[in-house]
Amino acid sequence: MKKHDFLAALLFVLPALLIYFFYFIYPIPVSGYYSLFRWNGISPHKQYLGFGNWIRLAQDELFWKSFANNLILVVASIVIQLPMGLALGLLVSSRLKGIRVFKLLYFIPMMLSAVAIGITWKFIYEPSYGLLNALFRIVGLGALARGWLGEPALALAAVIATICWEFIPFYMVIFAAALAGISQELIEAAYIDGASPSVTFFRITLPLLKGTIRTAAILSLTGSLKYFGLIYVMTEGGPNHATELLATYMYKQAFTSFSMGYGSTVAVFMFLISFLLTVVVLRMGKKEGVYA
Amino acid sequence: MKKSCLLLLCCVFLLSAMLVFATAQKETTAGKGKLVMWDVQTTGVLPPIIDQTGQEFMKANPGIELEIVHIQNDPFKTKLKVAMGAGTPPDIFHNWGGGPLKEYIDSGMVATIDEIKADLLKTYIPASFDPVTFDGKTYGAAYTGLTGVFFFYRKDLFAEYGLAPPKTQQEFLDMGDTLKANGVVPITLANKTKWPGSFFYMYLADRYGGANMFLDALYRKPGGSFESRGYIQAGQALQDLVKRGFFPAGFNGMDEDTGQSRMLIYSKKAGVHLMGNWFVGQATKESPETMAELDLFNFPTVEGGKGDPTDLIGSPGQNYYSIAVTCKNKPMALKFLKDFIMSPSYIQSLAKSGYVPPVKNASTYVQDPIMKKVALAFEAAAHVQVYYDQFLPPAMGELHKDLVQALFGLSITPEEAARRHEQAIIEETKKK
Repeated sequence: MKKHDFLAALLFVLPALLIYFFYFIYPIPVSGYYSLFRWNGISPHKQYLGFGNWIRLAQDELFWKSFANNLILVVASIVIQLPMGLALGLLVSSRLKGIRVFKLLYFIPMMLSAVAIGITWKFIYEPSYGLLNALFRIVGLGALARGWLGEPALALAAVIATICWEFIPFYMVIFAAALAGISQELIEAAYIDGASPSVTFFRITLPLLKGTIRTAAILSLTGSLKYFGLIYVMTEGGPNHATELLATYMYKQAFTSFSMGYGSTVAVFMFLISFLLTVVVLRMGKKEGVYA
Repeated sequence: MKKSCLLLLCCVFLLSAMLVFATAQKETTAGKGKLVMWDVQTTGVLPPIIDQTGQEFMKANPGIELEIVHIQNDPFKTKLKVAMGAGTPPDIFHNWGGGPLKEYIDSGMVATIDEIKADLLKTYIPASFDPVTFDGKTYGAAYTGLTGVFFFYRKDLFAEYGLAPPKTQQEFLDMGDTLKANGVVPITLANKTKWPGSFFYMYLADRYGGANMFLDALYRKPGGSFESRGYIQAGQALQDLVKRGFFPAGFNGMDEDTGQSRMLIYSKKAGVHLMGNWFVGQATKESPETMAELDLFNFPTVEGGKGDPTDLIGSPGQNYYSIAVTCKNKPMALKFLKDFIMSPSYIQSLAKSGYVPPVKNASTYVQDPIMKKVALAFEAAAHVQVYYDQFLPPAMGELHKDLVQALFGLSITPEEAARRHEQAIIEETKKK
């Protein structure tokens, strides 16, 4: 009977496993292989370069700029999305009147597709008609109106704001779920002991959320390292590469510039760096005896 | 009960898995009786015209099925590339000629259409084959209209401020100053997509250095260089327009694809728009009341420039159909291109829909006054330069657009932009 169950389970998992293997595992070594060639992605002839693409990568200013932008996005995501997500999670878990309506409203960005969000925000940031500039003009701050996505100094910040808007609801839900799992007795006991709400939060709630925070941090870290969607829709990495990320740079190399070999090199680099950082964060968790 | 349930579920699962594989199979194994064609015409008037032509083709050739798939522009590029890489491209595929098509040809994926070229030349203008001809072999046929880039303007706005279409650079700058003084953005531009900005660079380069400056630099003729004086002057003139504040604020982040440039023309907030004549089709649909006031003029001449004032930036074909080497029924594919695309009725439909077909005496087919001007400008043009980003090898085309966007952003100097263009072409020559 046991064996039969296992076979049935395998049968169910097999299609997913096959897809996972072919589309997620198999491409990693293959990309590594492609990264050794100059290849346009179509031709049957590949020119072997050894580590030529890797040397080019090390000397490629644009690549390092993309990487730096990516790191900014990673830090901004963790520093902005997680606390905001936690704050909203606390808010929607409270017993305020009418909070369910807000719960729904806050969750809306998560349900929209990235392309829809990107196009909507492109119009919000639009310099002449956009909502944001119009808002500034109405309150008499017209001098602050900018071409948000058009100025290299502002574009990255503008896009990051949108990315946060897209993902905060996701962390809100994660934290709300974790909060629901905290036993009410602990909170009540603290209340009886005379702990103020802020002491309760920092001494009881926050430590109990540690595991969730770590999971959220890893999700945010890996998610923003491979981030692509909104950037591609809103700026395509421009203006003048001000919002270029590793993933958009890889895409451009592989598919627009017909440099599949070099694009693969960037992809492998992305894999290595994500892998490394995830392992580091997980290790940190193990040391403290908390399993994320 | 539980067991049978499980069994049933397993069966359903297997069946659906098989279905998935079966449909996947269907897509790849088009038999002899079936041709698959991909293009990028998802909106506007073209899809019905093409579908109609496909129906006629099938009616005239029983036993042949032509499946036409319209795919959105950007996903198409990726999809075609993957299909080519996998060796299973569609039998007939859309392309824009130039550098990217050359990559496919060099990889041995594209069949020539030389067999039918003599027949096609009875209808087409010879120049329409330029973007798809390499080493004397022709690899495609145009299926829409020719396109040129012009300055479009609103007659009512020009009348209001007593302006006439400028013929020289000085007149152009005066026009800009007048509009700006009256609170109108002189030139609208949405340059996130980068190619609209490239129009200015290409035209200025042509007007300063002449048509051959680009070709000499590209083909490494003696004396040819992307650092020629004409290119430096073009970069300077372009940045002069930026410094004068002739463009809308934040133009480098505005998106041409979602019409952020055109909106300013429609709402009379901007004076002129340097754009391909497909803009007429867009305006007809998006703002019919603007159409009544729309007109165009050629890019102005510059002082001391070598360029012929009739030279155009554009494409004598724009959209092409090519045949893949994997096509199992090439005679039928050729027949479709020869007898159905640019048949007399097809030409009529194109002309009626706001296109200028790349055929002889195109101006006689076209009724619309603006399109007639486009057709006449083509007949008068001393040289038609295909867009750099489509003409250059793909990697360099991308770099060119990046550099021009940076020029517009005033983040590099004209000399630096010229130097990096030159570096890139030397790099490309080494690859060969």
